[in-house]
Amino acid sequence: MNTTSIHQAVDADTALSAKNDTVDELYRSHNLWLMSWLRRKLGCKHDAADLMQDTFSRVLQKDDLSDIREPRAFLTTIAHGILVNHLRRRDIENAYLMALSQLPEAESPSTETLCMIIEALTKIDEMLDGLPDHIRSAFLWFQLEGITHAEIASRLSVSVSSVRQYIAKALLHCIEFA
Amino acid sequence: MNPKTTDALNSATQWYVFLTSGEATDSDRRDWQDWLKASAENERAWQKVESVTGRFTGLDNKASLSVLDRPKHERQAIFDEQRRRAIKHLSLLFMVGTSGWLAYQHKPWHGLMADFATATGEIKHVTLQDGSKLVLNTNTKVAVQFDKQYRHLQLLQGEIYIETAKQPVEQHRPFIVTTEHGSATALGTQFSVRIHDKQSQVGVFKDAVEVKASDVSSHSVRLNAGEKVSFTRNKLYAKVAFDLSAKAWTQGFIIADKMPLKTFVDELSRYHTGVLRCDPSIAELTISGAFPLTDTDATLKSVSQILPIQVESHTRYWTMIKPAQKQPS
Repeated sequence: MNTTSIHQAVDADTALSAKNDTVDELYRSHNLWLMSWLRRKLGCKHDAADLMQDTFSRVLQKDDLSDIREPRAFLTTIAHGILVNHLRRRDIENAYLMALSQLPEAESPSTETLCMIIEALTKIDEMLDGLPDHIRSAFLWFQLEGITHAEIASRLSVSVSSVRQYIAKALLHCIEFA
Repeated sequence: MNPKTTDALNSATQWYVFLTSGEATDSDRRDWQDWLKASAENERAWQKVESVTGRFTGLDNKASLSVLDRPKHERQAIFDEQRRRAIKHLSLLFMVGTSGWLAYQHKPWHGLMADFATATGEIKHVTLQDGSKLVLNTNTKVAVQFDKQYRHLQLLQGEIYIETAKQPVEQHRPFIVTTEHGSATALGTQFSVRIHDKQSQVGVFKDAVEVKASDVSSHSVRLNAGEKVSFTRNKLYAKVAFDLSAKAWTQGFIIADKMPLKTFVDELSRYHTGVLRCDPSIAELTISGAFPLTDTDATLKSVSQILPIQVESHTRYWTMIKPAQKQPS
């Protein structure tokens, strides 16, 4: 059966319901398998259940599901992205709380602020992914410490013009990510 | 991405670096304005620069830096673990909690040497080979070394309580507990030893203990029941009176008698995985009663029914005790 021509012929509502059927089918056939895949990766049942829900809600956001040939490969590709993001966020959250616990109490942020900060830090970390360490550090010092190019240069023992190249390179890298 | 956009982006980043270098003059800034107005593409490129740099505004600089500017191996440790499928380590991270994990990372030899250990929130009772009783408080590590001459415990971290067993006179072996700061020699007795805040502390519940700081060989102090002393490697502080209810933890309880909330929460946080803090505005509230230590969530809940406070949790790693919000009247 040629599903493409059928889809072209039907109206949007029917297309939507066909999509829901596909998701339904994906869920029924593979949810246990995906759950055990996630559990193996995470070592935690609750997190695995959360990530599985995230995976399927991402699947639901896809426009076209009519062309999935390898359902498990398709699901693991999506789940892997979600998993990496989850681990990154968890790592950042732990590191940030650890950093905060070293600060005086008066500076403790509210829960809401904390959520927002961790979200922001996770995004930044993701955006800086793949940059060499010295370029990453130069960019972070400039953005967060507000020190001069010359100070960064002396910390890294490089010339000021190199520092400017680093900052420009980091910016371009981040823009391409966004 | 068409080449023209790439040009605009390159120019935009060059402009950003130049404008923030501290060397740009007013006339440079006018040139930049002209560049910006020259095309819609330039303007879009500039917006992209600002959307990246804007992500950094409003962040706590020091804490954010210490998170984002960690060396690569530390930042990605968690991914590597995952890649190696070292699930055991990940679950350990959660079992011992973040503070325990840090100690684990920084003092790996402790784990290797310890004969008995407890996780955060765990209290463990042990009977030693001579019949002495040993209780380990939360997050504690002890090494045991018994030979013909001595009964020796080395406290590596945390807190222990000991009830020494009586021995036949002819076979008497001194019972000694050492920490990195010094030693406590039991004279047939009940006592506790704790490492805390770069000091060690010995408190005596029954009979007497002799305490020595490790670098001051000539000086030692004899503690009787109801006395405690703090010491570092080279300093013994003055003895102070000691409340015997302080050993309630060995039964899994904390006994508070008009205890300031901050002290109470600090004490409770030793048993709590993650950060547990008390808002300064309610630090002075006082609390009395006996509360279980091994289920900190339940204890906090019951405290919130006694005092005008509320417990705010953000994941299991972050708990703040705050003033209760007033009910709208």
